Amino acid sequence: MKKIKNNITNLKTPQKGLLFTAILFAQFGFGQSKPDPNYKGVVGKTLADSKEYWIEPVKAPEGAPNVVWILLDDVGFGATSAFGGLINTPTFEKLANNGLRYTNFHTTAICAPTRSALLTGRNSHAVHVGGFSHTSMSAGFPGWDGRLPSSAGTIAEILRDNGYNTFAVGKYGVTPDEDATDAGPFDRWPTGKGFEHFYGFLGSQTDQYNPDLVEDQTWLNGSTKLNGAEKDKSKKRIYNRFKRQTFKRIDYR
Amino acid sequence: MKNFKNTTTIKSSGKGLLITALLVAQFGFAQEQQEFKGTIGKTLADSKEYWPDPVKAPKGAPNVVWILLDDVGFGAASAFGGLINTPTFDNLANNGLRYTNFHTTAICAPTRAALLTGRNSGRVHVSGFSHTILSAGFPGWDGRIPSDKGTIAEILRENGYNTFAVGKYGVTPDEDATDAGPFDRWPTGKGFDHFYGFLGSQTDQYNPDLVEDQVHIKPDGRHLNELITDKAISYIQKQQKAAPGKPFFLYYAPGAVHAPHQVAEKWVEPYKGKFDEGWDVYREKVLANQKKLGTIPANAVLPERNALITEWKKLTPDQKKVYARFMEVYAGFLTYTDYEIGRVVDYLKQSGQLDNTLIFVAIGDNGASKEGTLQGTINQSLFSQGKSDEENLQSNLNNIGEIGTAKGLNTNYPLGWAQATNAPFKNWKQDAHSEGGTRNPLIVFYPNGIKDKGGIRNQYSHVTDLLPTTLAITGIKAPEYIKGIKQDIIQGSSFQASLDNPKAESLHKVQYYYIFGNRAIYKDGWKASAAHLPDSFAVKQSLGKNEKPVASNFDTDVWELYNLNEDFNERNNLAKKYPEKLAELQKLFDEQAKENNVYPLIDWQDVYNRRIHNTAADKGKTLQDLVKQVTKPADTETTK
Repeated sequence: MKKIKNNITNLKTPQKGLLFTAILFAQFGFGQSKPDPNYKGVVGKTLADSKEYWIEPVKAPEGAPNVVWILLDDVGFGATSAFGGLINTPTFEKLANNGLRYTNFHTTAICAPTRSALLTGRNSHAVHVGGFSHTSMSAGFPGWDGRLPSSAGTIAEILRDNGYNTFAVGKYGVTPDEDATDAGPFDRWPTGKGFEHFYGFLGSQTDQYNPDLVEDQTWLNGSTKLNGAEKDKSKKRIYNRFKRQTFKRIDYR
Repeated sequence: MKNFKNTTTIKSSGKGLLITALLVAQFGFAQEQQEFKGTIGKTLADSKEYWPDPVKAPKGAPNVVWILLDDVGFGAASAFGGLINTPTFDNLANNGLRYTNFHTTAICAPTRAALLTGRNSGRVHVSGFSHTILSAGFPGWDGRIPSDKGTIAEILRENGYNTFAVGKYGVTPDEDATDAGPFDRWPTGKGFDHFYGFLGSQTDQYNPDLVEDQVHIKPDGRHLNELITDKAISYIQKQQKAAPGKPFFLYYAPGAVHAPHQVAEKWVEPYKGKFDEGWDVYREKVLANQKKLGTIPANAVLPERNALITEWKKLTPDQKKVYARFMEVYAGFLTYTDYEIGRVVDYLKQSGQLDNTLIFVAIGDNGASKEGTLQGTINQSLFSQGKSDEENLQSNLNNIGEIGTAKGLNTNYPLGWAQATNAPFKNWKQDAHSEGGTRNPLIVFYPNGIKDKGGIRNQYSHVTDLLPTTLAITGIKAPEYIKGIKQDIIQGSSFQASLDNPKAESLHKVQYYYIFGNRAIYKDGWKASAAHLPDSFAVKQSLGKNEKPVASNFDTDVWELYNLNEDFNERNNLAKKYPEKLAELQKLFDEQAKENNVYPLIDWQDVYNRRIHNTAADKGKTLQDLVKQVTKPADTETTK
């Protein structure tokens, strides 16, 4: 039986163009967006005439370290003992004493711009977060709409596409208020920005004992069992609190 | 201060950067590029904001619900003349349309892959499964749906819908279905905002291998049907609360009524004694019902009883007893599943959303399952070998109390009942050469859009047609790009025209079928088909006796030819009468196979002998080990 190579040039059928397209787009492995025109198997009519080809799954560079980014919220230069402050931070001290202290490091001076710049490696205005992603602190200009564009990929997207698992916990702060609902859209939630899992709150500030908690794309406001009225009530409460806090934030700044 | 438009007069060293930023300014849902239409001055007073409207579904676009049952034959549900009560389906069909000429691929994963993408299973890389042991490193066989074949969920989400899936997914590669992902071929990586269900092909209904979004979770002991129904309703409730009137897409694909047949006894109770007349009488009664309903031709005749199946009258009392119990449980399971789907429909009605909801119910992703073997199975594994029929019967008699309970982890009914619930067709699930493998009832229900309530439609249709039909009805155009990736053509054809016009021409003219050796080609009412030998029964039997099965040879398989326009259940083989027609169709099969990545033709022997996908990780493991691995229940150690 005649063997047919994948980018078959000797097939004489009216569907040749179609077949060719299909093969060009034959995609394997993780990234999905990287078409693999270099399929190296052989496709015959039966298995005996053919040779399988599986591309290696994407893997991080050999020995690539785990990466942990820790970002504290609202702390001045002279607060922690690790940098001479009078507040004990033995964990930071230990990390600093066994690592390096960088003394000339800068943020943007406020939460959301810092976070958007950190996650994307780009200036906050360049990634549309000159202000916040909150309705009341964003504006309809390219530097101000609070919507990270997908052309400014995050560290999570980059590492995930390079063989890492990616988790985020705590404050996210750059999901537009309008999207932070049960109807989404979810593409600017952390899991839409490269994180495989997220557990924390999407806004800027929350009650530490009763946070506006989200896991992946789901609000954790009670059990997963259906109990209509009670659940609606708690959801409304949380939504109101969410609104309240957005406004409180304005007072502070 | 001088006003300046967005790209022109800024004289600064950062100009290049600014222009770039504007070019890629992205708003709205899909994050796609949108032109900035405001004005940028140096202060707000000099500027004008621009907010594009968020993407919205077309005005009045209906909610969409796709319901896909698992392993149900054409003659099972009462809605299509079967003897198993399905009052919800009856209701939907009586107030919607019955499609009598709808086809699947003849097995789970290929049907699901074709359904979700509107493209043939081979073209989307799922000629087999996404399971390690049932996939191979060829474009049509690797079990990895590529991202240039976007799913219905991706399309609807990008057009202003929320998208939810509950139940069985079945097309996530085994290798990816772990806590380390990757997650891009989990349902939430394929366009669903939320998923609640299991990723594999079969699961324990009471202890399912449960996943929510990207997380493995611990089940609570309730039946999976109940869990997914509650979750579906809760998704819709929450979504409507957050965005009233925003349409949703719900893909509801229960593990039911695939093995294991597990259901609370109260659903089985009403069927006690109901099948004591046996599987031959069942077929006769169903045939009469189908004629009465008008879902089959008035002159239809049943095909002969399959040679593997014993006439009911000749069975021993023990055989009758245990076989009847299997069927009572299957019937109870299907009726219970209909009840849970009824809860979703009732919720939509109570909340005032039903009239503007388009519901498709595919009663089965393939024909009735033959995987229960001649005797039926309770705990015997899917690929178990080496036990005689007598041993299996005895073991089933000894464990008759476990049929239908949580203890029966692979309960499936015997072949005789599979044939009966497949009336009036020959053969079963996996038999891609036969209408018995590929023909399933389809109900289309849409109060706002269907006038001919209770009408019957006989146009040929295929599982790939649901996506284009849904887009046509919702008024959504298939996108050229999804997330920057140019999309392949959609192969299915819309049958929207038939909603209003019972005589509308079917636009689906050609369809190939291929499942692990068995194959067929359909064109304009004609069908050529070849059963591949040795069949799965024979292969299993030989391996069970430690014999080498007869070598298979695709070139010597015998092709048959049917004119379905006059002979819908394939009783009159015309291969000898019209050899040119057969040759024409065989050639067409070859063309379609090439176009859809069906080659190489992989068969059950290749699977049983572990000739495909022998990755390092699986070296030394038997087929049994590997099957256990993919049908495992929830792992309570590692889930939270």
